[in-house]
Amino acid sequence: MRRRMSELVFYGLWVLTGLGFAGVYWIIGAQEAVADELAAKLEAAEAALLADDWPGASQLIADVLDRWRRVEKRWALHTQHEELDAVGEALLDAEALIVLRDVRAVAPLRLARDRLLTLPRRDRVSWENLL
Amino acid sequence: MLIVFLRVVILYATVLFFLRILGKRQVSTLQPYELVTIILLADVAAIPMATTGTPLANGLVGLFALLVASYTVSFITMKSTRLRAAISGRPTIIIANGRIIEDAMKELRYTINDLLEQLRVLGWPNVQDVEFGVLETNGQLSVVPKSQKRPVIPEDLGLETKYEGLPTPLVVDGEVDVQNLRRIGLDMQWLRDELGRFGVRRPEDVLYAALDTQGRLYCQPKSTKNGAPST
Repeated sequence: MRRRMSELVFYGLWVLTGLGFAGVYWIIGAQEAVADELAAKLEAAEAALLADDWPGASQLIADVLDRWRRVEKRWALHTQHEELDAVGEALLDAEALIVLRDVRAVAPLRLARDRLLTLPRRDRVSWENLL
Repeated sequence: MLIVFLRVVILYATVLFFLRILGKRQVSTLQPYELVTIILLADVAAIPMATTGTPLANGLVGLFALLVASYTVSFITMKSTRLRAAISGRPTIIIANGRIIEDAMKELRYTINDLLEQLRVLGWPNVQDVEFGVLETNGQLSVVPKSQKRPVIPEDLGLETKYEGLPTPLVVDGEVDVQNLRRIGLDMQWLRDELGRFGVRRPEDVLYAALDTQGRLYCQPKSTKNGAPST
């Protein structure tokens, strides 16, 4: 019975590991979808401010911040909090500069977009991340 | 502060739970792969313990990975003798017929001082008294003494001995082990009567009571606050 128990624990651990791997892939996929969606909006905000459409840019960054605040809580369960804070800071910088109608808002917008897209990539199983 | 406290408690419970799964060997004599697990467990648990910016899940996944790796290695070593030898090594004879085998000592980088120290610890200060000395895979030295030097046992003297099994604990720290009591076909009434002979009225007043295979009951009552037995 005890020998059987040992085998059950062994197979159970590997089943859990397999489920964990599948779960992580699912999380990364969901994270990438959200990051792509937010990055697209940030790109649109950049295009709007370059076209002198400040109300449009302001609306887009507000949408992104609102969505970010919701997803940030979930991402904090598996992502380094400093990395999440960095995205939040860049978004707030961009929002402040857009309110001031300052074209330098392009810089934090691009920074936030880049950081957002990088977050899910860091958990992908790749040689780059492993080594 | 509260987060650190809670994280430490969660990680402590997780490490304790994982060590229980890994088994008793992990906390006594260690094989190389078990030693690695113990060293890494502490490190992996320590990082998310105090760094509140690191998700707790990262630490728990790390601990889980160690559990899986360690359990898998121990499972493999159970199934395959070749892999067992590759992972844990093989025992090496370093004393044969009372002579130290220099080549084996050099190969193991085991000094004469180390050997003499281990022999003294085991109670064999003279190398010539040792028939075989084997350095086990967990780093412990096993000694087979020469037949003329080993302690005399009843069999050498042709003496008959009675069976000595394990005593059965019946009361531990005031709590009656009802399962043990039933297993040996006795009941609470018998226990109360027997404890009464020791001047103890209630099992709650007993620190430890056990019945040996000869049917003798050992009973030690709890001490009172002034240090005297409670009876």
